[in-house]
Amino acid sequence: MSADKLNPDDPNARRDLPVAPAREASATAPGDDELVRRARNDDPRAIAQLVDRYQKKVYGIAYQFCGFDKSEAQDMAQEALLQIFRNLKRFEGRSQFSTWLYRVAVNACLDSRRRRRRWSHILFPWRAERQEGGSTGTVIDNIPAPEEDGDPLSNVSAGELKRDVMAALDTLSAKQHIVFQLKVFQDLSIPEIAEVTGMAEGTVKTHLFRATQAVRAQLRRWVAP
Amino acid sequence: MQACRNHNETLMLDVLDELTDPRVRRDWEGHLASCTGCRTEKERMLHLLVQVRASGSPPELSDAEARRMAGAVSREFRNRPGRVSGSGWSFRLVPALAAACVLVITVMAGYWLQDSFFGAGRVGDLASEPQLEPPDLDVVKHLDLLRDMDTIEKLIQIVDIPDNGLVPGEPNPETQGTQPDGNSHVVA
Ligand SMILES: [Zn+2]
Repeated sequence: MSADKLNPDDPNARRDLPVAPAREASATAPGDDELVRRARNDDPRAIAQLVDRYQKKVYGIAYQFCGFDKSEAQDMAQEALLQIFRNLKRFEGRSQFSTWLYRVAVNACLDSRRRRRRWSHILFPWRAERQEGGSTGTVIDNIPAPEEDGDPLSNVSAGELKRDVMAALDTLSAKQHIVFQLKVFQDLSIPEIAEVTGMAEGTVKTHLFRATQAVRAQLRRWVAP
Repeated sequence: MQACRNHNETLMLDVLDELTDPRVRRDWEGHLASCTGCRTEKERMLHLLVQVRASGSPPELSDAEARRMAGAVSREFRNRPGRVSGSGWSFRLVPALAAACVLVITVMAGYWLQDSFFGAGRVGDLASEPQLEPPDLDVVKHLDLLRDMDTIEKLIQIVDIPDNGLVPGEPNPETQGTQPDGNSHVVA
């Protein structure tokens, strides 16, 4: 296993921490446990319901992993969802389904990003050379244009901010990036991040501190005087 | 005014809403009340994180996009029994095709460039001479003989000029339209 990849079978990651509020069964919607049990038996309706429930979350993770590119995020999220349901039989229920889902989704996105980079290096070596500076090497040229409507000045500013945020994230190590992303974008707590990544809470805290300091330094022009 | 260095980590935990220890929180709040530097830095950090979060928030998926993604997953699992899954095939196919195209273009360009730049200068071409076919060789071999034959023919023509001054083989304007037997004959 690579150092920056999360191990879904890591026993350290099987503590029963509340990663996300467990979906309880209601009169209209069954809970995660029930849906997972049925999905493991290839029940297409249960699979559809779980996809519907977690699609946006997985898409969000993918979006932040692929350099804020919507269409690439959709492809990546689709791959991640496929990975999740292909591996569903390996989910032993020792942690929350959502914890396990985060872990598989993050790994799938890391794999996908690595694969895309490899192809990008082969097909567009000049672009890859420009990425050498960053540790995670996101393609910052591909930031989508800001929305057409609204104040043009604030649109330009939003585009610039997005580019700078991405460049700042690019300077982080893979672990710092994952931890920062799960905290700031996915709003997981430190114990939840530890659960998802299999790291000790102290390690998560250290990565988070360094990542925040680095992002703060990179984005100093956006910090109010 | 700068924030206190020894409070950096506490400040970070505070802005990330991770200051869970009540004792640490109480001490920190006491410090904040009296330290303008840390207070200002906390406000800046909170503002920065709002901006970072806004930048990283994905645009909403349209219903059609969400359906398409969900459909792709459902399709894969609808036919799952006994099926070898094609993990993300649609994505993998694109670079594979692109790589194939690049390869073909490179090979073609390679041949073309080779011909353009090195076509006349290849070592093999300079070392070899054009080979003649056997009938051509025969002609070359008898070239001198043919030249001699030509000279002899011209000599005969000069010697054989008749008294009327006509070169044999050239038409005689006086016998035009007559048969070789001398009978006058109008050519129809
Ligand atoms: Zn202070």
